[in-house]
Amino acid sequence: MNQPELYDVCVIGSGSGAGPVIYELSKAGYKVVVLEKGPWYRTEDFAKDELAVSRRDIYSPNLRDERHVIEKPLENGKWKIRSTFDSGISFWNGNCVGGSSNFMSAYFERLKPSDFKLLSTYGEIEGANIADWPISYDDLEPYYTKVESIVGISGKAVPHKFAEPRSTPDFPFPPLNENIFAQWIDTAAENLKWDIIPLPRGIISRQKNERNSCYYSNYCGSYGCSSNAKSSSRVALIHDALRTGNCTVIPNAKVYHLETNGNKKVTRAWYYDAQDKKQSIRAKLFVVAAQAVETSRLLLMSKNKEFPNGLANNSGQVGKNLLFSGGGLGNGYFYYDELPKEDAEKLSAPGLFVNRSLTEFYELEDPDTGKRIKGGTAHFLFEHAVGIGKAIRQKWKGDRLLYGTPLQNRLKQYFTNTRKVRFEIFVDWLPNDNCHVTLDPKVKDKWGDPVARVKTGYHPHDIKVGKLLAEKCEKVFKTIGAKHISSNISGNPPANLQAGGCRFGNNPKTSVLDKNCKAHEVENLYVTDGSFMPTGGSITYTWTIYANSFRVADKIKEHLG
Amino acid sequence: MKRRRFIQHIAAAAVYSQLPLLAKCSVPNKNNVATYIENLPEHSPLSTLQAKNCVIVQQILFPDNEDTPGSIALNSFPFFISVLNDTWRDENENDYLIKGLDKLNDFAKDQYGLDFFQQKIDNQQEILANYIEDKGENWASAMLSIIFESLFANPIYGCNPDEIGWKWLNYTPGQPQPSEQNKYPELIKKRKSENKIITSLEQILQE
Repeated sequence: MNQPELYDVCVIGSGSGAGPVIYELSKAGYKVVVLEKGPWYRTEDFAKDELAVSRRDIYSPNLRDERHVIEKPLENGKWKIRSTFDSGISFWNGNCVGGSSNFMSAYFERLKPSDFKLLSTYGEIEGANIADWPISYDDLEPYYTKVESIVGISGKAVPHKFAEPRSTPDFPFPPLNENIFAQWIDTAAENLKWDIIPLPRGIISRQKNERNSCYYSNYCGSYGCSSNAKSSSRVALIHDALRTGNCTVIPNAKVYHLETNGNKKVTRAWYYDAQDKKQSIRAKLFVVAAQAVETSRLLLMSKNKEFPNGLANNSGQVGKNLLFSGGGLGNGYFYYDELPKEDAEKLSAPGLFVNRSLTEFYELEDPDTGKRIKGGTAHFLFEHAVGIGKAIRQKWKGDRLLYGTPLQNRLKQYFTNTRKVRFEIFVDWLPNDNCHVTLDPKVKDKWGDPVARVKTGYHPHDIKVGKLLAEKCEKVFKTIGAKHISSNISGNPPANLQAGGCRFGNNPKTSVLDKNCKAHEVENLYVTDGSFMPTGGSITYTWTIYANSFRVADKIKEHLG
Repeated sequence: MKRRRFIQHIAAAAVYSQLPLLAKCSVPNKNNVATYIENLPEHSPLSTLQAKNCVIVQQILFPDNEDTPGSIALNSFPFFISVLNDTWRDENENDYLIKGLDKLNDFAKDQYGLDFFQQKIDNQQEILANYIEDKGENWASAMLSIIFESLFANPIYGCNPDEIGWKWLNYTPGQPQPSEQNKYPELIKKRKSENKIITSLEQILQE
């Protein structure tokens, strides 16, 4: 097929930051081309195949070909620098059409109004680059609502002290079915007099057009959905965009350079095609949504005379103030032979969700100063159902390797008599000077381009708040009788919760993007993944990324006229 | 072409899966070893010596007994061969596994003057225990992880025949499970597909 010589919009990436722009602009009649570095996996390609998905990481690039270099802080103040190929720990989150939204667990929460003004609400913290957002919760609220219905979110709105203002009374999709464990958590909440609320999910609970409702496969996180219930950008938005006849998707197109015309305009996106040949696309306007680390990398790689430090980076801000999600996790155990038979049967039922979020401590009292500080949230859930992963965790008893009959007995006991329950804590990852993306000076990808070097320094305040939350979660588990409760709060960056790097703001000297997510320095360049966020809140980011991308799509429509 | 080799070995694994359960004992059995070695794939990444040692190591790490499917019932050895031939995996990881077998054999010869597989059964268990204690713990852990893969992976990969591993642990796998169309090698192939320009949903849905 002949391609247009000039598209209206070229979108780089196809995940949750890209999908709303692709959908809205295609529907509005603009000719949109999408360059996605990964292949197109169809729904039929997805299976709950632990070997392929979890053990061989098949949805991500092979680390031999494409890797990251990660700098992690050590306790002695030095930094450990290692490529992900050497560590074996990938920093990719799924490269294919729809991006990592295909593989998310889809725990969806809105930011609270105070998250948009963290600096003015709670004040400065030494060593952190906290900034208020240039928009308010009210600016984003209509788009949060839009995501609920168009992308698809199930849940139940309940009053609680940090409840976000809503323009609609409830979610368009009712909550998913729950395991008895959710009731136990509710009882604990009642006893403790804490707000623990139903946790919305980006998973639909009844049919929506050709998307079927959730079938409770027990395998959400890391796995593609086989009923299209999970609200990935691919099935929720890109399928409809293609139906308009205005959208073109080029899979296996790895963009490596954005060319400008010497007059602050991007004119062409250069990419490697499936055969590793260099190709280019021309468009009137460009949108980058390659996920935070890779978005910064692309801008930094797009150097020329006009932008000697990288595209939109004459301010030197590209790649700075990268965010992850602070916090950690905790565990508890129930043993079926210690429970009434009926409870044991209900607890062991596979597939049903827990979907509870502790919101009571979104704001906390600092035990050291007595001041009110920003807290966080915690989700209650089950251990992932994967068998190999569970077994691997059983082979060590302390620091001793088990094998033979003792190991087999332990596996039998674990798989037939135990249900491991978990909590995951989300606190702000405070932006700081030691968390950023640069281009590695030595390590290249398979095309010979520099890989992203990610420095993952965290602020000690994140650990302090995380530990306060962990104490609360452990108390919930104690209340319901879980055994062997433990928690681990650390500064390890979860690679699947990335944001920042191209923060938006009103001052071009301290931000990359303006409040509409257009680059200050470039007339026709927008960034719509999580890169725009100056602070991340204490929740997962996907709903906010979807909502902001819908918001920016409206601004782009105004821009294009 | 390396991928072809991978498929050959998957096919070989399927042949092994037709074999009857070879052991109902909790200690290594040299007859089982012999049967395995006779069926080694033509392009085996392991030498005969390495293969013999490997089968015994797997059987000590995860023995078969009356009500527990061990490495023989799970087809862990042919599965291990397919893993070593998998070009998607980091070859350094495979080298590490193979070198571990060699180091174990050196350890056995140093202690008792014979190759590991030639030792008496009690000695094999003692030698492996000592090797794990001495310097082989991480290697044995990696070997166990591959056995766990053969315990939980879909039988389509030539292991876990008749879902014997799942049944043993009352394990409910997620659905759908992989098919011939979307199993692991097919997904690898798809990652390196030809150039495509998608302009309609039908183009994708009718593939």
